[in-house]
Amino acid sequence: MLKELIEYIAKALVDNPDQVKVSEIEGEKTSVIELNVAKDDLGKVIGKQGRTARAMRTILSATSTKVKKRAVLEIIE
Amino acid sequence: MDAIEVEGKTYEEAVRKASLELNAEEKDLDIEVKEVDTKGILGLLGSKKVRITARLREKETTPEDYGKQLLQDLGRFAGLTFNVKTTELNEKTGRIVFLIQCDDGDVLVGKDGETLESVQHILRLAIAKRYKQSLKILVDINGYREKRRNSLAVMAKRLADKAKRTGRQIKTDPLNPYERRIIHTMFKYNKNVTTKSEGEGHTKKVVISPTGRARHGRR
Repeated sequence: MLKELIEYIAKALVDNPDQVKVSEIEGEKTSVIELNVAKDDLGKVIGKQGRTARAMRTILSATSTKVKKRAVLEIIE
Repeated sequence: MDAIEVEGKTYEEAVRKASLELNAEEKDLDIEVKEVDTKGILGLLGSKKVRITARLREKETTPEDYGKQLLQDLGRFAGLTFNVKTTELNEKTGRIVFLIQCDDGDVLVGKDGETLESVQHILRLAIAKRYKQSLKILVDINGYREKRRNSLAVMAKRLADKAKRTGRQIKTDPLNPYERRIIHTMFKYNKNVTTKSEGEGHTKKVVISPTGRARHGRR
């Protein structure tokens, strides 16, 4: 569910939605969500001063509280 | 909606037939020319045929509808279902307002509205991306914005009184641009204090300083 959330947001922001790949590495308490996008789209998911990345992380942690799970977002370069 | 195929002696005639058959105006059709047949000697005599396919163009989603859908989808990931009302693009302010009504809205607001700001940021980018133009938007949930504005005003008033009384500068908590603007606007014409923003990025604070007249010697 958290993976799908990130995938959904990322696809709405990038120029190459077909190149958005998200994987989830599930840990005991914490999941790591890895987001891969086309090279040209990196700036789009990071944003000025990391604002967009921070916004995604904030939404992710709000959602994960609701589903009682912790998750961190890694944007893969 | 499926495409239909029609023929006419000219392009115009074919389009006219298609619009009659689909019961739609020509401007609402997507038309593709399949074949232009100019049989007959030098195209002067005999049958000339234009074959086209036509389909009703899907209705463009408005930024309002798209935004509504996006907000509801985001909510669904958090297990929330809610209503979103939108005001149409306000010509004067150039702003679309999205109003969310939700039973369990606190999770969407977050600490000091941080989650709400994030949702708004993502929504603004997504709309800008899809419509290739930057629109001003405001997302509100359960009247949070007004509550926040009121409590900010009370807090700022208290800090300004204190600045005036003590003759010292007072800083607010870190505030986002929208919140800082509320405070700046509030004291724009105030004779006793001036305001300015201080700090970097998302941790900027507002500094409320007493003006010369109100200052009592102490810094």
